[in-house]
Amino acid sequence: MGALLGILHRMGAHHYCPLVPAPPPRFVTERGCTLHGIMGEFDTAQAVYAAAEKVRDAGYRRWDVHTPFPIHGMEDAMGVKPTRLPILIALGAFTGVGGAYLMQWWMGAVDYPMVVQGKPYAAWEPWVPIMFELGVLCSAFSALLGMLGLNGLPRHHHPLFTSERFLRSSQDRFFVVIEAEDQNFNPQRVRSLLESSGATHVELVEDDSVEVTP
Amino acid sequence: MSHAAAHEGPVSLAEGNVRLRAGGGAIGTVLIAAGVVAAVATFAVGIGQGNFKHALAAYHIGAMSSLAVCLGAMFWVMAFHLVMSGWSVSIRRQFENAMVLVPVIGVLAVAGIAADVFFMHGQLLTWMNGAVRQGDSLYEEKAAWLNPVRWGLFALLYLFIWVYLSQRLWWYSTEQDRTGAPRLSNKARFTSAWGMPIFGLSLTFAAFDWLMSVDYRWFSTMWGVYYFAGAALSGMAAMILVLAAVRRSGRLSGAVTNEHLHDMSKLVFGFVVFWAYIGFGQYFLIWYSNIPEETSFMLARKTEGWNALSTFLVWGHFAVPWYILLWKFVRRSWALMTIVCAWVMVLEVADMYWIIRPMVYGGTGVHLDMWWLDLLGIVGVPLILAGLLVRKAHAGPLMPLKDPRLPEALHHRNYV
Amino acid sequence: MSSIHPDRINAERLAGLATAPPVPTPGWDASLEDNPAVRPPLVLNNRTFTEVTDIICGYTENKPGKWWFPVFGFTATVAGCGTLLILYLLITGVGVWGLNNQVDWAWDITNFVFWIGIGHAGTLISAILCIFKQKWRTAINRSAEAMTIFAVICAGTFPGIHVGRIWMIWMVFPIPNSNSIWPNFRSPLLWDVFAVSTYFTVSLLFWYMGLIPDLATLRDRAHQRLLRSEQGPRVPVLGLRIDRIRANVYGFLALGWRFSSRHWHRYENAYLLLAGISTPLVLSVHSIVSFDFATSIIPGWHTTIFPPYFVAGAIFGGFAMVLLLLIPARELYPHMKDFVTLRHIENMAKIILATGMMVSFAYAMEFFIAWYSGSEYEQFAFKNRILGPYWWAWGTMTFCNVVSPQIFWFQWARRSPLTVFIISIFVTIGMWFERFVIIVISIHRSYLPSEWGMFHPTPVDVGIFIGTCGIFLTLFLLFLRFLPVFAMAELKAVLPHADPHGSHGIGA
Repeated sequence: MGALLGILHRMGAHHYCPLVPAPPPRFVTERGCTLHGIMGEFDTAQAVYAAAEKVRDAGYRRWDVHTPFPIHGMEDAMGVKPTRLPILIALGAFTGVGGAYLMQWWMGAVDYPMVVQGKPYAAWEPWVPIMFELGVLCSAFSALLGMLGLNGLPRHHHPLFTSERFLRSSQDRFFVVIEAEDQNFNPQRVRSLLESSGATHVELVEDDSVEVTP
Repeated sequence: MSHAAAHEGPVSLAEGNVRLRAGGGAIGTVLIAAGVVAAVATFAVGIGQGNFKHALAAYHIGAMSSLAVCLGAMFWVMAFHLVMSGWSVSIRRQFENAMVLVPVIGVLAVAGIAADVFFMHGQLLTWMNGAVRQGDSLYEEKAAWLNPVRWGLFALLYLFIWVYLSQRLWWYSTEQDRTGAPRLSNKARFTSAWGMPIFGLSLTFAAFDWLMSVDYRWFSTMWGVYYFAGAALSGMAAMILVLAAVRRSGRLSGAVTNEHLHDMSKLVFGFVVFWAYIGFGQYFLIWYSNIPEETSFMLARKTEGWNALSTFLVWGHFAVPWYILLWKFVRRSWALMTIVCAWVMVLEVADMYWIIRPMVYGGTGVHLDMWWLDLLGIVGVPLILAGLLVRKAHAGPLMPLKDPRLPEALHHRNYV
Repeated sequence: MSSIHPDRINAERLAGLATAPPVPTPGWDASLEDNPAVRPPLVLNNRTFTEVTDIICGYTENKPGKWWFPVFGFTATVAGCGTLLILYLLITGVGVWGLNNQVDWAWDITNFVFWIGIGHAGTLISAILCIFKQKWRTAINRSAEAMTIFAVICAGTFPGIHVGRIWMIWMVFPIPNSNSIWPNFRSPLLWDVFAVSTYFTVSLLFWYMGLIPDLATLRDRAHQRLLRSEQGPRVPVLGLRIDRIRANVYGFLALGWRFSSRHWHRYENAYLLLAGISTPLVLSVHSIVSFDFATSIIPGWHTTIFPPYFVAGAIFGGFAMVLLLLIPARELYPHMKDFVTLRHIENMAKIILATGMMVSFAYAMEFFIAWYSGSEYEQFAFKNRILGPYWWAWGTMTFCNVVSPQIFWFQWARRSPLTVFIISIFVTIGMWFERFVIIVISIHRSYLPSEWGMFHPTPVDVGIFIGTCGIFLTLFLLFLRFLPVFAMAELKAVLPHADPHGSHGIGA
């Protein structure tokens, strides 16, 4: 049971499913809230890129960089693995093409065969346009939904949104957030790492959705 | 991290990296000699056996495939200039090498069928064949177009256009090697701009005159685009092969990297799809409308054994390379892309074979009696082209060293 | 073995060869820099991330210019009248159009192909220019994609209402029904249903995906204002803070996007792949539209070059429409010229020239092959285009599509917004006439002289077409008012200071 709960927690299920109890907080702030993590703010893309390399090399696993736009090469600086999204999209495409073929074959050649221009019932040529279109349609849906799903979106509530400074991550500031759930998390060391990496401001982020009763 | 560090840091522009070993072009001479021997032997055997037609068809298949490589390379050079592309600077010289061979390959491509038109009374180009066109009112309709005088003059015109454009672009590029003047890039762009429409028209009408008129009754407005699609595809595939060979000899290290290969492979992928799109569009509209004047071409290739070749083209020229090129690791691997591109080149030959060969015995099924003659004739011009490319690659620097956009090419990286 | 860093070589070379820096002439736009060693800036005036955000969000957050309400009122009225005419058509029947036994497709299908063609420029900019890494597209892709969606809405109207018995329209879908019959999958008109609906859906998904981060920016800015002050504009009667509505609506649509780099990684991957699948889609849609004609045996309709020819024409006409919308917009909105620079206009003018040449090539092929084929029907069809009673339609098309873009061979014309605007009007007219020429001229003369007729449009024909123009413009004005007009995140990513390794000295 405990192992199962651990897996669920690792997947973040307690954020979505009310039946999953939240894990006990590892760190609690002075106000009595669970600590989500520590956030360092940076002014430039260069600074946050260099900081990301430092955090990666320090061995953290549960951390993220928030930037107003995708920074080229950031996945290398963070050590993010290539995404499996292309496989999902390919599955979508083959489903669409195959489904369209089967649909047209069954409807046009088996269930309701109709003489049109004296051509064979099961001629593949006229089926190509719809096979192609449905292939594109399904792969487009799997691209968008797959991207959202792998990213854990939609998720309209997140501890980071409680920080007013963080709202500028969507405009002109760059943030590195190291989460308290990381095994190596130590508030003092994280703070000094961020400061030594050139953060202009460092602050605690509280997880106000999980209030700890004293 | 995986591919980020591949070419960080300075790229060596020393002779040892940008020039092939002097005297290494000897293999080129051997290839050219082999090609000439194959071509001469083809015609000797053909005429000796009283089957000039078959020999000519075989030779013509190889010649048109080789011409496609040169014209494709020329298209790419113009396209790179037109869009002011930076990443392609370090690969462009190989395309220019192929482009500038168009005087030789163009003349070789036209020589065989010109001999047919002017001296052999149209054995393959049957509109010159008195026995075939006699009393054919359809020929009478087309006589103003399909006659030796017009045909010959236009052939000279196409060759003139290609030679002029390629020499001009070549001059800008090599002159820049000497002076480094940035404005030469702008001049090359201007030449490409007015050159592109003329190039497109000349390629189209050459495809009409040298390929479509093999069956003079038949016509398709798509024909020029079809030949262009194959040309752009095989031009890019051939240049990947050339660059792979150059890299194997330890040159262009850091200057032509996996990143460049990745982009070239994407263009190969794109043109595999484009060829299929054009080919399917042409076939499909003829199949669907089912008008006898148009179906003759497809009918000859969908029946009596040639259907196997048509099916093979669909799979080999489109489906298989398409599927393989979906994979990123293939597109970034020189070894795998060498195989894919060689395959694509073979299939371009198969495409020309599919166009020309069924006409040899007049749509009466497959005659593979003299298959070795096919093989001998087909390799002739491609061997000459390969030999010339080898010699050309040894003749100068492997990339335009003073192109103002070269630093961009040396920094090129694909993100995402 | 010497090993020199290429940047230094370049710098040295330029130092030896470069003449004096160009003297800034009045009206000189740095984006027009023509030295091949220098990549011109994509955004002018060295805008910072903050400025880019403030300017672009300002278009939706601030009150619109004085021009907006009158223009919106006018286009909305036109759209309303058009909708009423459609209603009239549905109630009365397609007889209110000028269609007759001989010319049974005319303005309806002309308008359909016209509008769907316009949409293609948006997908070209968002997808094809994306996979070709043309960074300048980031300044125009959002509005072009919006235009695509609105154009497809207008396009979809026509096949929908031209069926006559509109209540039977469900039969185009493969729905199990009591007659146990299925649609005819060999009908190009059925392929159209799939092609156009797929095109609309995928364009919408692509557009929405691009919008997600920018909607989140608008959400965060509204949220910031709510946190900072109790004061702010409110909805007149309800008293609700407008920023509260913004935070909630934009917030709902932004799906909780939080600009995470791990998310960006997948997002960019998905965006590129979506661009990759939209590229063949845009080719396929207009190809399938061309199949409506080319699979027939009507001379002038049936020719093999139709699929790529239609695609080139669609992009040609679509870019003209993008320019028709953006050239006034960059005059009306403050600082928009920093993003939509003269270089953008010039690039689009070049694309118009290039696609115009492709279209001209296809016209030439049609005429040549009609003659070369030796088929008297083909020959008549094309002679009739030039010399028949519709010679003026063919002449308009040829002048607008073949002749007028040739002015773009001159640099001054490509760099003059007014000239580009005027040529874009010509191209738009020309592309409408192209479809009219193909559709009406080809069918108004059939094989037997007893089947010859003419088409005369009725006021309902004209009114519904103008009505769709109103719908299109109304939707576009709403887009300008309420959504981020530029892809902010993408635009920031192409600024020089977005490069995490600092400037290479080779431009951004």
